[in-house]
Amino acid sequence: MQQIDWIILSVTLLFIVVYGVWKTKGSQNVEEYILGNHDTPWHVVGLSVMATQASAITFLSTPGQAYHDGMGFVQFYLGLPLAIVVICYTFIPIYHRLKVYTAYEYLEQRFDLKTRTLASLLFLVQRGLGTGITIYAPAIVLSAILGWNLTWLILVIGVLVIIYTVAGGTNAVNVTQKHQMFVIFLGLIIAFFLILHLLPNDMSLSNAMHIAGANHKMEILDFSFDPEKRYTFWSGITGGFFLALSYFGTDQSQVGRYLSGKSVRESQMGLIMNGFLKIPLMFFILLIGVMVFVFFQFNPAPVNFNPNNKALVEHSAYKKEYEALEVKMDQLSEEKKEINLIYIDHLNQNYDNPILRKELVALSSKENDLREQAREIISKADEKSETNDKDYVFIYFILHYLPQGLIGLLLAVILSAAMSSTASGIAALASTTAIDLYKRNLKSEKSPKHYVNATKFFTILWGIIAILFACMGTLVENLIQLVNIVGSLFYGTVLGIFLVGFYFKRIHANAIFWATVISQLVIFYVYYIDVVGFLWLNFIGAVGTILLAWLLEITIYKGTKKIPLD
Amino acid sequence: MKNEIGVWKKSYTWVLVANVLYVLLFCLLMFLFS
Repeated sequence: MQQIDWIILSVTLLFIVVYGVWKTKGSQNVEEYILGNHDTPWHVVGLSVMATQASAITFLSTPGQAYHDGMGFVQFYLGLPLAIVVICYTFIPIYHRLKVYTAYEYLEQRFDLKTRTLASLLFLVQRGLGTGITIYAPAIVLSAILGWNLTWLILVIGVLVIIYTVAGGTNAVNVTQKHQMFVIFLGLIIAFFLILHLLPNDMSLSNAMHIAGANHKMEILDFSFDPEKRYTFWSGITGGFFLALSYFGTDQSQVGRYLSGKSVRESQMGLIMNGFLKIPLMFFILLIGVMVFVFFQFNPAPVNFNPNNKALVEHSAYKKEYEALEVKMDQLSEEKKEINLIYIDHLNQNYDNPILRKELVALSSKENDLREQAREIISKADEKSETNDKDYVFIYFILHYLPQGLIGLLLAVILSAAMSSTASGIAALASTTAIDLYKRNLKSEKSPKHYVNATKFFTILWGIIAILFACMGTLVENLIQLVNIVGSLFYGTVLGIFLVGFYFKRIHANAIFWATVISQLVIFYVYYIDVVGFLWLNFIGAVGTILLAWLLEITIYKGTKKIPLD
Repeated sequence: MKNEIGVWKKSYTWVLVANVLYVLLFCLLMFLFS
């Protein structure tokens, strides 16, 4: 990294933080601090929702995912627009009508206090862990590849986020996310065109996509019913739908974003914007990864993109074996380059040569074999090491092949994304703690200023917890997987409570409360006996809670005294 | 109010139509490049 990169990186991040603090400081009441005075226009709501979901790991991992497995990951988002329509139609009007600060407040009005508290606690556990990983995941990648100190990096990201989130609450999160999304879009568009520019012989986008297609990277949709495959059209439509419904409809880090909208309509429009843009955005990020793949068909690529793994093997007995693989990879790179150049020549003459395509597939298969062998060697050197290098592909490309200045801008993209999702996370944790636990359980009413200060205190507290958790990340093996599992353990049950609240008017408080408790215990047991993939726990949790609540309502709680609905 | 609901039903429809178009576009890209 050169001086110009440092300047661009620091100025971009500091401008966003300082502007956010200056523009939004001095909230006097909790409505302004948590809900931004219901003053946010739809496009800011939309950008904020998008920025909350797009964490740094999205920009590090997704291109790497496309590099190794092609464009199929986009199918995971196919259920999202449908979920957004359901949320706009059902969830948002109810939240606005009841004038809630948090999603869980609705549960007390619909059911009772214990159900509200239970859902809030489930959220706090799951999002508390999630926010730690939002800081940790990019920090571990950046520190490995840039040699930065991990603890300092976590502290810088965490403290900057705490400063502006505490100063301005929801308004600060919205204002900064608007600028962060601008930096993210700008960085991605420049990176895309630069990769195209770096391809040999002024190659057109169409020819680049032909090369990607010949290597099976353009298999975007998979209509097979194979349950072994994680990303298919059908799993995207069903699993993606449930996950998006739960995430956008019941997770306070997202609900808090659109509740700050000026009106029901502005909130809906912000979410609708995501329904339109999410799939093209993910497609574009994956396409960048595919273009990086095409770039490496003409340039030497390492057998494993994670520099830690290389360093690990170099200090082990397997050094020579690994070096032999690297030599083979270099020879293969030369071979691939030659065949690809001939293939492009034929494409320019409007001839998609089937023999060359077959040869490209064979070379690609050889490359995959070499990578697999490298992973085996790394595992032999240290069985605990993470051999999957997809998080490192894009950052490797950025640092080795992009010009000065742009490296700084793309690092700003990654850190902006880390900060934007962390800010939404700690703001949501603080508002849930302040409103659903603290304010609800106070015996006497306090002044508006008191609740603002309490929310600020909880923001700092959750910020510190997130930083501490991120600092302890290295102690836990495969932390990212752990947090995904923790998320899936709770998301389904919480979604079940809300779906019962919205659509099953005959089910009441006690039935849903005990259904949630039992369903949650069942989910823990199902996870313990390990009979299904953890993504299915979302679906099982939601459906299990609804069915159990209905069963309890028609059996044990049949004819008991009902609390009238709103 | 009725008019507003009508406008929103249209927005929902457009989101779903847009996403069907995305899927068709993906099919076209697969046909051209796979």
